[in-house]
Amino acid sequence: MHISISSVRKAFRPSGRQLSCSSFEMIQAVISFETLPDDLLYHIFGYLSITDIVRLQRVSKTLRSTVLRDATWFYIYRTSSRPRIPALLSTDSATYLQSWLTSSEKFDRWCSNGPRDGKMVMDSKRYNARTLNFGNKELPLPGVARRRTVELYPDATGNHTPYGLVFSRWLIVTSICSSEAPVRCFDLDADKGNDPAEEAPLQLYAKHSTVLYTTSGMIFDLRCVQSTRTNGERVAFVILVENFFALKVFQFHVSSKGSQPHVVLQEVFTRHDMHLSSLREVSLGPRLIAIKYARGGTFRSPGPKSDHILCLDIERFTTFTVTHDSLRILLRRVQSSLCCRAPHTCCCCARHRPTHWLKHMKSLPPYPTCTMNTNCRARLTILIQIHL
Amino acid sequence: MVHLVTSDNVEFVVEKEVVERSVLIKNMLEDVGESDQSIPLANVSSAVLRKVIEYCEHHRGEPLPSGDADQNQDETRKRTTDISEWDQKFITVDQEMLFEIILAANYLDIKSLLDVGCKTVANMIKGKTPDEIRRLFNIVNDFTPEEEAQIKKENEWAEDR
Repeated sequence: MHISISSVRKAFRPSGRQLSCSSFEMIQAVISFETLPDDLLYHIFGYLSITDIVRLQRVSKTLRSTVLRDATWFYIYRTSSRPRIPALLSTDSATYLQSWLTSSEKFDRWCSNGPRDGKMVMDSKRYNARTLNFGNKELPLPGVARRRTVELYPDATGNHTPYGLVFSRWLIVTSICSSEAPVRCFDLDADKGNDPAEEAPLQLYAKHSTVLYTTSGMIFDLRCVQSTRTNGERVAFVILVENFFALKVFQFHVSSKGSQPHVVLQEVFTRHDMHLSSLREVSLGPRLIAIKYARGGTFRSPGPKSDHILCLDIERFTTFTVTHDSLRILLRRVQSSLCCRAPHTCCCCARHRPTHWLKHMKSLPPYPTCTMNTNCRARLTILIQIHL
Repeated sequence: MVHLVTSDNVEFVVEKEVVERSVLIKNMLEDVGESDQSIPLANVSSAVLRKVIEYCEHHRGEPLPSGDADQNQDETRKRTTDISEWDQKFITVDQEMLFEIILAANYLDIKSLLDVGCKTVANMIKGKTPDEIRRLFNIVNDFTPEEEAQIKKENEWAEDR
């Protein structure tokens, strides 16, 4: 980090104009923040937050070009205290680093300051469906009489922030940009007491959320599934990928504690797999959760042919996996249904031709709580839908 | 004793122990050995060198940060911007002098002084709006109103505190 006179001069003349006076004193006399050499600016950036650095862009053209320079973001990334995730180490795109760093900062600010960074628009007009906008994604949900827009920042990969919605009411969010980002739960109906005709912005302040799960590492993907059990009970599960090697399944419970609803996650299943990268599809029927996940590669680009399916029986929490080979047989959408032939004996049959994969399901143990009568036509439908 | 000559041809005679906080001079002395020859510092003016020597005098005897410690410090971004009381008083100078001290500290390779300088600048910037920063550093806004609105829109999330 040595500065020669020529580098100082260069800093002074970014536009390449000739200096009429070349004495060193003259050059030094006009040294200012803007014209500090890059390595010194980077040193100063090291003490600033990303918000401060981004804000510097608006000061002047010179500073904007400094902030937008690739080298700046490589430097910030190198000195960042954020965890280095393998996918980022393999990238050499400064734009990518920049968007990763800024989106993590956005998430942090959003969590600590409230919706300043995430915009929330609530339309108080009654609709038949509530639409939740997550960046570019839309989730229409029937049966709820309000429309709301929740904007969550997309992560650096341009994908969604990992989120899920349970019972049209509980918004479950985490961040892949921050280490130790907890899984938070927001009650979207917390302001239900208000007159529905009255416009009340929904506040997504961290303080209004419940921390459902804290991790000591990072959560790379999160999905929520919900269904109705055979006895009519509504169930929901949260599935997440932690630190690339743990796939965890939690049951979501709502109970009332005083007048306030109380939400908790109960861990029901963990699978350790060294090469987990992301969740593809997750679905839940009355009995089984099917989790299609990718192995190998990185979470941005899972390895080829890396999909696996894990089926979890929510009665007994036993699992069976479906290998990639058998998966290939199911190249089209498979819809199967569970039928109950007799109390305590269950088996599986497919509406269409049975496949290799469905043989696995035949080994399902009987419903312990099966109260269905012996009428085998009483089909419990919609077990698993897998979109390939 | 070490003889230093500044860019404006002023000679300073400084104790070796004091001046060796500068890694540049320390290495230089190691290379050439003891000599009465003065060392020319073409990039440092006498006013700045006076300040730098004042700093080195006050911090004499303190261990120099080793190369390893340097590395570790660089590793983590959220470095503290706390400055000790004496350093704070020392660095309360006009902006021009502040930047000259930073440049000199960088040139002379005095890591702790460079840190103090950069932390001071960072503290000046922290949490300020672009307008305040412009006024602070006397920077001319060379964006057109449209350009500025565009940048503001791009980074809306970073705008207010």
